[in-house]
Amino acid sequence: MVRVQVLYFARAREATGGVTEESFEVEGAAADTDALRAALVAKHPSLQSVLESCVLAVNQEYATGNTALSEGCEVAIIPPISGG
Amino acid sequence: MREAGQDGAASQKRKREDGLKWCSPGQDSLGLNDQLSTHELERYARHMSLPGFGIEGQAKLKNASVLIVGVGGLGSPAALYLAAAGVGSITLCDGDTVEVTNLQRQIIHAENRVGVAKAQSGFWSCKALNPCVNVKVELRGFTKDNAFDLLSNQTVVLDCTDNVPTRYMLSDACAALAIPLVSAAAVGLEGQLTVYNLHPDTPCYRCVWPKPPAAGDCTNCARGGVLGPVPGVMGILQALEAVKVIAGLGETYAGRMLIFDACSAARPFTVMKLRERDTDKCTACKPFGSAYSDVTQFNYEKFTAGTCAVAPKSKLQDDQLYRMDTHTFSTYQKKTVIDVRPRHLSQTAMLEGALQIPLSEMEERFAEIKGHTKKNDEEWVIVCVCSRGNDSQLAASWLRSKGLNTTDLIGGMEKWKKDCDPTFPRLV
Repeated sequence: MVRVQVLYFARAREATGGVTEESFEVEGAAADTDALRAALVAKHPSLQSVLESCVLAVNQEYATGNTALSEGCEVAIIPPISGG
Repeated sequence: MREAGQDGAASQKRKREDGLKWCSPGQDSLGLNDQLSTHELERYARHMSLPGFGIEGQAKLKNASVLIVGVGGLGSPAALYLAAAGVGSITLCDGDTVEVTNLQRQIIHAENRVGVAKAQSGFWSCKALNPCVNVKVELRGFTKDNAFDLLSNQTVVLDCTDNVPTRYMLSDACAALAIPLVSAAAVGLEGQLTVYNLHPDTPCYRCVWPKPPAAGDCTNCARGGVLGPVPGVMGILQALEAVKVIAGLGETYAGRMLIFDACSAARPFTVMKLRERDTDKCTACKPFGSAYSDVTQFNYEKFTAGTCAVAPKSKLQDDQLYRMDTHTFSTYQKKTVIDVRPRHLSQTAMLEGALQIPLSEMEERFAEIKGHTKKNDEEWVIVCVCSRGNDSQLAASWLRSKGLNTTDLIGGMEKWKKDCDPTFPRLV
């Protein structure tokens, strides 16, 4: 199990009901972004569709594909915004 | 050495008196086409005293062309700052007209521009701010049909659009042509900014966001609201990035994304390192035949279907797009004014210097009107005026149909009397 700090932006923030940041425990065999995604949706079901088009940044670095998480790392959930 | 225009006369005079000429080694060494005039050297003096920018940076700005797609919340401050900063050529592209709900954030459009095409309104504002800048307008918006014409010879492009399909189309076209795309977005209290395509390994929009947001997951300004200064911050940052890219100043946001959270004081800005260009999977970045046919054939509406369908704007009459308000009318210099009221009215009182051509005489006197246009100046405009702004629209519409760049004064002489000169007699 690893503990990570999750930051929510834009539409993801709406899906959490206004929570901007929270601590998360990622359990299971692999502590990675796929496991985190599942845990996020379990807690905030309306994040499901939002997450499909989101960028995940682990320690402020774009995560391509499934990425391993380490204790204390920061994961930002960044949906595209299009307003201009 | 100054030889052109008004400055040429001054330098030649100086030369006659004392036999000396002056030169601008910082510009001469760059071998650029357009040299800065005396007025420009003075206007941008605070730029040129900046270490690392100097005359070289300013000369690069003057020789640069920037396309701004979207003249809304982002495009307004971006266009104004780039015009003030002396970018040589700015093209404003937007297919929408100014609506009253835009005014709280789209600061390039004044209250009296409601109903006017956004690109046209942006043109008036930029020219008022800095007449030295060459400004072009595209009133059709950014489409498959004009994409590659608009992009040709652009140094930098700004994505200031408000919808997902156009963001993909603009990015794909810029990726195909390897044109740097300074992209920003703003909604609610948040913003995002990056520079796509700047270097061979810099990603494009599609590399970063391969999948468009699902139905209902895209908030736009109309639905989610937006606090005026938020796109202001992002648009100004776009102008700043464009200047940095053009002048080669400092580090840009290529390969990084800036995320702005207006509500946070502890961490208002977060910077995320982006992925590299996705040459395996990104359909815009992997080599795949002719870029031209791909962008023109890709179905962007289908690709982003149901996500952020942009509500079709109520199409105002084409004639509305070009109209001029009294303030712009009084300050814009490059114009020929035609008073189209019946002769007995214009004989009694009319604006000094106006041509007296009643609507009924317009057709027979077309050659005369044409003689008053400036062939090689795209910014020269004919402005028709009448009593209340009705006949002037007919006249302007007809002259446009004959190929003349024509606008008309909103509200006519009645509005002029109210806004600008109460001594003008009310005759009707």
